[in-house]
Amino acid sequence: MTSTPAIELRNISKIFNGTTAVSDVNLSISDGEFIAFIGPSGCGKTTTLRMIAGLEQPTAGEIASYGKRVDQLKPWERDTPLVWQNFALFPFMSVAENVAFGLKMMRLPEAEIKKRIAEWMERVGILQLRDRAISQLSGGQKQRVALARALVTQPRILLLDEPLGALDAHLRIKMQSELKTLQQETGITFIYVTHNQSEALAMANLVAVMNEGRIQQLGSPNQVYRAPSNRFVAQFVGMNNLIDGEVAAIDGEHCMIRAGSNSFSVPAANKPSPGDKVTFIISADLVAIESAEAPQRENQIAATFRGEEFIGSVVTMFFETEYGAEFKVQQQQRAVQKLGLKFGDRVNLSWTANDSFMLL
Amino acid sequence: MRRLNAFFATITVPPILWQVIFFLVPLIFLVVMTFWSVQNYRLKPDFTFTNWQKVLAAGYFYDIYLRTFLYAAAATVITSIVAFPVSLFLGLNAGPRFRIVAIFLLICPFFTSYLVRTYSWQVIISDNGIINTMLGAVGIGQVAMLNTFVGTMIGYATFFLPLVILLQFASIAAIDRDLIQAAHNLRCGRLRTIFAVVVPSAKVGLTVGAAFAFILAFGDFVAPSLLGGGRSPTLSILIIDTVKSASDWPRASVVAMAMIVTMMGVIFAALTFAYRKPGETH
Ligand SMILES: Nc1ncnc2c1ncn2[C@@H]1O[C@H](COP(=O)(O)OP(=O)(O)OP(=O)(O)O)[C@@H](O)[C@H]1O
Ligand SMILES: [Mg+2]
Repeated sequence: MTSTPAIELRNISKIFNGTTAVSDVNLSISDGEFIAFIGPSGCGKTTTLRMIAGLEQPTAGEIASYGKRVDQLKPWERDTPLVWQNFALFPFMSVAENVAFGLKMMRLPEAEIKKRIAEWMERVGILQLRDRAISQLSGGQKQRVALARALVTQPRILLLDEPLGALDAHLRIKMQSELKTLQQETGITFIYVTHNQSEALAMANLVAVMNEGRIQQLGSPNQVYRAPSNRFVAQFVGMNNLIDGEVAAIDGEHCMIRAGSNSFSVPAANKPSPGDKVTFIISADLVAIESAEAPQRENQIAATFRGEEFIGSVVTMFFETEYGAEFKVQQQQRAVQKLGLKFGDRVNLSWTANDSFMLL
Repeated sequence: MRRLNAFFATITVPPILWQVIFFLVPLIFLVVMTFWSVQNYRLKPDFTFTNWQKVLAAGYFYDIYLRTFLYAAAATVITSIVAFPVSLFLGLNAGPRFRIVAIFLLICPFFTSYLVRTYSWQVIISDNGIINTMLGAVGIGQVAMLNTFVGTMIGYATFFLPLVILLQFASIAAIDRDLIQAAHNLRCGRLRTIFAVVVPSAKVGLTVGAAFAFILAFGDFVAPSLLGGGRSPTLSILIIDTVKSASDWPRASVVAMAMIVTMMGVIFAALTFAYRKPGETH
């Protein structure tokens, strides 16, 4: 590990004839970091990655790598191999020739090339495919070839643009853990773009949430998940319910927020004063379902069951409340079965004050 | 299903019929005719091997065959190399509007007869033609071009250079740009990328372009006779002479058969090369 950042973006912007793709991004990525960029489609993730690789020229700003300016360098003068979403393997070459490509360009001796490509093909499990044509590979195998082709040059930084996007769900989970292990073993700085937030949260040490060309929040997976820094992050990451209200009173660590016919106790953040308009969030997995009576306490609201969605053993239930038609509650399927709710049933939803979180 | 079969029948039968009537039948007739004989300048159905024996025993036949082959090979290499930078620019760098104009200009020459265009070259490259007049004006002596190898090559280029460019361009324009960027990303500089990625990616178009150049040059009569002077005859000139001077259609057919077999061999080799899969060489 070195203390100079592996990649530093200073006031980076990219404007494509009129459309702003990336807007004034400042970011420092330490050596050995696994950073994931997440954000909705078109928010500028790929553009940011391509600027680091030199495949796109920034409209403004500077890029440095290990203390040296790189933004003036041609792509082939940089050491930032990219794993492409569509793999971009050379169809006119065999698997082994694809993997050897970068080393050939570095003009390494033939024997050294042979040794290194065998090592990496072995490591990612494609050694037996070495003489195959690219068209004869499955998606997962192509993925491995793409990885080997990028890693065989022993870069200090690896760029990955939705590398698992083309794979089915099972393979994606398997590759996630393989990639994570690979990153930990090699200590290579991974800069990873995805729009799959669970992938980012599961793999990365550092998550950059982007929207409209700007970084909305930079933090650990837990921070962006449990402590989103703004409304966008709260809605994009995790499964959060947002409630807008007005500060009614402040009581030490907590403040009382009035919203509609209910009042809520929320840990105070950013020194609010009575009368302030604020938004607080409560994560869907921290909400309890109780039998219906008129709400009696703080942090309790009346709701009508409207729909549900299954992801594995977790059920997301949708309730209609006075705060909107889609108040989300997430529970284990077993617990939901015990409740035996039918669409249209009325219930109360509640949560512990300390689980809710005031947006700044 | 039956309706689908009927549909395929209606779209596949006409071209097959066309091929049979206009290619296969004449070809069979050509083969049959190589065994006929000629008496008093009249064709006479027969079954004799003399035509084959006479042609294949003649030393001049092999000279002419070799010359034709080498001329066609030279024309293939020269036009492919001249066309490539143009195709590269049109396929990778040119903007869409420039491209359309360029394609239009490349098709334009086919509006006028190849013969007419060849005659106009005579005016340009003859000993007191436009080029030599200009060279003379700057004090450079006459350069013989008309009735030489150079003249023949200029004729071939007039014939099919635009076609070779169009074929090369079409396959270069279809290259996945990500592949080129992926090469750059793996430390492959601009020039190297052309040989490492562009050429192999466009292999089919480059090969088909070269195959067309070879076949058109190999069978051409106009360029070697009008610009090459006809003093170093090619197989087409030989055929014409054989028919004109002796009305010996059967022997001309033997020469034609040699040409057809050669061209089929070249096409077969070209297509095998173009569509070879990676990894099959090891
Ligand atoms: N070459 C280009 N020319 C013009 N506009 C572009 C170009 N590349 C990207 N853009 C625009 O820049 C914006 C950001 O694009 P980018 O590809 O970085 O998004 P992304 O975050 O990677 O999205 P996705 O998740 O869909 O891949 C988009 O609005 C896109 O239309
Ligand atoms: Mg993208």
